[in-house]
Amino acid sequence: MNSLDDLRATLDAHASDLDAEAGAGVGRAASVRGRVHVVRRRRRAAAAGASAAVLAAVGALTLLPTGSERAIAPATVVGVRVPTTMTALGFGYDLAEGIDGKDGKVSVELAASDSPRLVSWATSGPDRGVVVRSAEAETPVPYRVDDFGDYVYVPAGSGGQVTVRADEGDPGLAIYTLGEARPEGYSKGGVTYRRSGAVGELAGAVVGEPGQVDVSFDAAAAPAGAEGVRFALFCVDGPADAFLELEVGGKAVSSLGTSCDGPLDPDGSAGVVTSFRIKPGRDLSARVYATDGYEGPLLQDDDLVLGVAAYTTDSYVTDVGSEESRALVVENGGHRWERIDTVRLGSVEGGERTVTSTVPDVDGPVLAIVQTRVSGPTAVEFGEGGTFVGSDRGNGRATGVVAPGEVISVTRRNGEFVPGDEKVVSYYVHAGR
Amino acid sequence: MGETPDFDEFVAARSGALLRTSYLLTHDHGLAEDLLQTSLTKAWFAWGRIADSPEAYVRKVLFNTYATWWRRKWNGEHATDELPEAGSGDLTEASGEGIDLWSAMERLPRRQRAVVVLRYFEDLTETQTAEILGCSVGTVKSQCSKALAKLRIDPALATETRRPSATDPASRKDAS
Repeated sequence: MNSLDDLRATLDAHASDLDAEAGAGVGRAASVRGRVHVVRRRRRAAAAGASAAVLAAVGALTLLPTGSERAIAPATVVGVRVPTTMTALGFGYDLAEGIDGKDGKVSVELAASDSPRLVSWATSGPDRGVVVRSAEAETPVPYRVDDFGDYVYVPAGSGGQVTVRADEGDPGLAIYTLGEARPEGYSKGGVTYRRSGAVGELAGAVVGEPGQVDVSFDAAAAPAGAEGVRFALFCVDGPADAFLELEVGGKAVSSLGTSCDGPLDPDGSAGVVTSFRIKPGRDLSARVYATDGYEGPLLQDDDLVLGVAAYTTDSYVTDVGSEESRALVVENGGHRWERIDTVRLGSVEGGERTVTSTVPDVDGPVLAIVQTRVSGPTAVEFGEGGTFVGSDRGNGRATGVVAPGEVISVTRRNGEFVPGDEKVVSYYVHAGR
Repeated sequence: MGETPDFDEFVAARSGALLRTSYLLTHDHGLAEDLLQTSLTKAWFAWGRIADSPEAYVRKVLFNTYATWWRRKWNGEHATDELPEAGSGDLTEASGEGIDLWSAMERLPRRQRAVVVLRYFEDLTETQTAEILGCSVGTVKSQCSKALAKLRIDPALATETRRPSATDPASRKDAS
C-alpha cells in the first residue's frame, strides 16, 4: 500500500526530471507568438469567409431540388453540372447544396454536424487549378483535378470553413451529406465495419445494443499468411472518461482509456485501433467491455453503444527503420492514400538537433507520416505554424496533411540525435491520382 | 504583432513551472509543451484583462484544456509487438502492493489525474481545485477518492502538512 507521501514524492521526482527551463525564455515566447499569428490569420480568414457566405446566401446560393426532383433536375454551379452523389471509402454521400463563387473565390462556413460531410468543387474555366483552405490540412493546398474530382472530408462532430480560390475564372462548391449507401461489411446501428480496406480483412465484428456494456464475437482462427491483427473499437453515447477492456481468445490484452461522448462515426474502423503481431491459427474471438476507470466496475449506462472488429493483415513490422513498416496504402481522414516516397531524415551518426524534409512537389494534399524511434523527447512540426506533435523517448508516430513544398521538421528537444535514432517520413497522396 | 513585454516576462518567469505541471498531466514532454503553448496562446488573447493575475488564468486554461482534449493527432494506432497467448500472465493486471505510481497515473481518467496533480503537486485545497476545474467540491472529493483507490493509496497514510506553492496567493505575488 502506498501513501500520499509516496505520491507527492513521485510527482516531485518526475517534475524535477523535466528540463523545464530549456525553452522558458525567448524560444517558448517566440513559439507562442507564432501560434498567435496563425490564430489571427485563421480568424481573419474566418471573418472573410463569413462575409462571403452571407453574400452567397443572398445572391448566389444554389438551392438544390430535393427528393425525387433531384434526379430529373440536376443542379449546376458556375455552369458545371453537379454530381448528385459522391463516395468516400465506400460510404455514399448525397448532394445537399451548391454555392456559386465570384471574384475567383467561394467559401462556406459549415456548422458542426453529427455526421460526416464532403465538400467538392468545380471551376468555370478550363484551368483546373485551385487552392483549398480547410481544417483537413495544416496549410492551404493547391489542387489540379477535374471538376468534382476530389473532396474535402469534414468528419462527424466537426464544422469549419472551406474556401476555394481558382487560378482562373470562378469556383463553385458542392456540399454532400452522408447518404444511405454503405460498403460491404458488418453494419448495425449506423456503423459499418468494412469487409476489407487498408485496415485489413474483416475477421469478426459486433456492435452492441444501447446499454450493452459488454459485447463479444466469435471469429475463425487467423488464416495462413496473416501476420498481424488490428482491433478497431468504438463507443458512443457514454461518459467522457471510460475504459475499454479488450479480451482476445479469453485473454485480457489491452486497456484503453477513451471518451464515449463524441459523435458516431459511421466507419467503425476509424475509431480506436490497437494492433498485434499474430501467428496463423490464433483465436481472434474478442470481447470488449466498458468500465468506470481502469480496473473499475462495469459502466452502468443505458445509452452506451460499444463495437469491436478484428482485421487481419498480411504484414506486421514495428521496426521504424524497416522498409516494410511503411504501408503502401493507408486510410486517413476519409481518404485512401497511396505512398509515393519514404525519406530517412538526418544522418545515421546523429549529431543534429533538427532534421527536415521538404514535401514532394505534387498537385493536391500530401499526408506525411513521421515515425521515430529516438533516445529522448522529440517534436514534429508540419509546415509553417503547423501542428506541433510531441513524442517522448521510444517509438513515436505523428501524422499531418500538408501542401507540397512545405517543410516537415523533427527536433530533438533538449540535445542532439544520437547514433541509432531513427526518423523516417513517408509521403502519401490521394489514391487514384 | 504588438509589443507585449509583460507577457514575455511572464513566459520567461513562470512557464518552466507551468510546464512541469503540464508534464505531470500528460506524461509526455512534447504533449506538455504543446499543452502549455496552447494555454499561453489563449492567455495572449486575453492578456489585457488578465495581466494582473495571469498565472491563475493560464493554470485554469491549462487544466481545462487538458481535461477536454480528445484524440488529437498524437493518438494514433496502439501497436503492440505480440498478441499474448491465452494462459500467459495478464499484462494489464497491476500489482496490489507498491505499484509504480507514475505508471498507474497514466491509467487514470483525465479529470482524476488533474485532481491528483492539483491536490498533491500544486497542493491546492479542495475548494481551489474545484474553482480551477469548474466543478463542485463534492465532485473533487469523489474524483480524488476514486483516484486514490485506483492508485492503491491509503488516505490514512497521508501527512496533513501542505507545502508552499506557486499558486498560493503569497507566492503568486512573488512570481509575477
